[in-house]
Amino acid sequence: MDPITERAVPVRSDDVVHFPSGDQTFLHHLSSGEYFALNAVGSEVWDLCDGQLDIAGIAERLTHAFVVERDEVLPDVLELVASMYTEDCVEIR
Amino acid sequence: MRTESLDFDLPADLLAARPIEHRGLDRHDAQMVVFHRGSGRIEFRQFRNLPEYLSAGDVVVLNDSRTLNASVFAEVDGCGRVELLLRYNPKGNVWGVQCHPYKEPPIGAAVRFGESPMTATVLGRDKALPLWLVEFSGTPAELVEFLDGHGRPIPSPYVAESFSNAEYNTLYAERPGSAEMPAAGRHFTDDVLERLRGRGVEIVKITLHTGLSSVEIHEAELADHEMYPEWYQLPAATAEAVNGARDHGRTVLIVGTTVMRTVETVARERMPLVESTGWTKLYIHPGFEFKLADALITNFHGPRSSRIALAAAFTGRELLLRGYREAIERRLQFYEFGDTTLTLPD
Repeated sequence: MDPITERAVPVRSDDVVHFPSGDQTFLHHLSSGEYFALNAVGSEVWDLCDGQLDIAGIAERLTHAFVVERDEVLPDVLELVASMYTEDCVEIR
Repeated sequence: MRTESLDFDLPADLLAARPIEHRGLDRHDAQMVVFHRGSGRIEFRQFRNLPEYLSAGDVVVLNDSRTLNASVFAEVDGCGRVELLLRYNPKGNVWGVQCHPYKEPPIGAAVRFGESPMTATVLGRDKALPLWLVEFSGTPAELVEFLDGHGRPIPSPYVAESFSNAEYNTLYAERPGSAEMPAAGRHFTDDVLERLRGRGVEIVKITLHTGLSSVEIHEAELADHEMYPEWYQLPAATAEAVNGARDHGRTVLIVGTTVMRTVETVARERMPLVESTGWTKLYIHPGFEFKLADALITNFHGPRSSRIALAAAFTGRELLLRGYREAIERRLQFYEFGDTTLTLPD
């Protein structure tokens, strides 16, 4: 079953070091050695992956932070979290 | 002096991503650029050659602070799962921690570390530093033991992976308390220490626990920058050895910016040196008048950093940057796992 649903609660992996640079956030996975770059919206999603909000809740927060519609942003959040999950940058609770 | 005068292009692939031992070499095999301050001459040697530059009666001053596993993950009430970076220890079991949760934790928020009996409480923001103050439930010794088991050294963004605590420490590190490795001493091996002692060189120690001092300078003028406070201790035996060397015209070799800041802090208060304990915010940049140091070992530092400002103050900006340019051409490695420099007075 696909773990990345609106009700999935993502948590940042302990294996990832993150550091901001301008509007972006760079992720460095310490086990795989891979680097990833997140734009401003992605950085906000990353910050919200603290195990308190599900993906629907994260999308809801973004509607306030970036003045976008929930239906517009939810698919993007699902896609981003799925991508980070595939790269072991987040775990799902 | 403008901060941009300490700017230079540093290729990203010259940031040392792993300890030299991972390349099948010993710590003392690091490359060493030797600056002869008097003549302006530059040599390219290895750290293992260090004893050749010292003789009987000279004194080497090391920092014996041990790097903590200062990064630890926690569940903080109201903030979820966050990484805490322990940066400075103002008293007892209270630490200033660096942390970037999505929202501020309330004062009194509980901090839990999985199933561990160690817990902590958020006391609020530090008044002077960009840190939260957190009080741990255990004694300082229990906290060190807890971090040894549950934490990891604070990883720099450019390192390849998470390395062990031993790899983030000098061989002679004894007193736990640093957030980041005092890296200049990392090149010392038992072999180098024995050869120094064999030549009659005295080796003494101070302690300075590193915290937040390695920040980039954002001010346009170097002089406008300020350092954060760091705790130090200079023992009576070290003061005596350094004073004796100076009385006899011998060289005092300072190993690292932390040692330089400690001895120059004490020297500015009183010469000859005396036993001393305290906090230092001493910021050494070009124009600083050194009261004590004759020679300096320090790694290669990033542009516009407080550490390169210290190195430029001691070695001379033009000589230092000339050596940096040649080091970059020869592809020497920068930062804590990288190669090193030695500045001599001749």
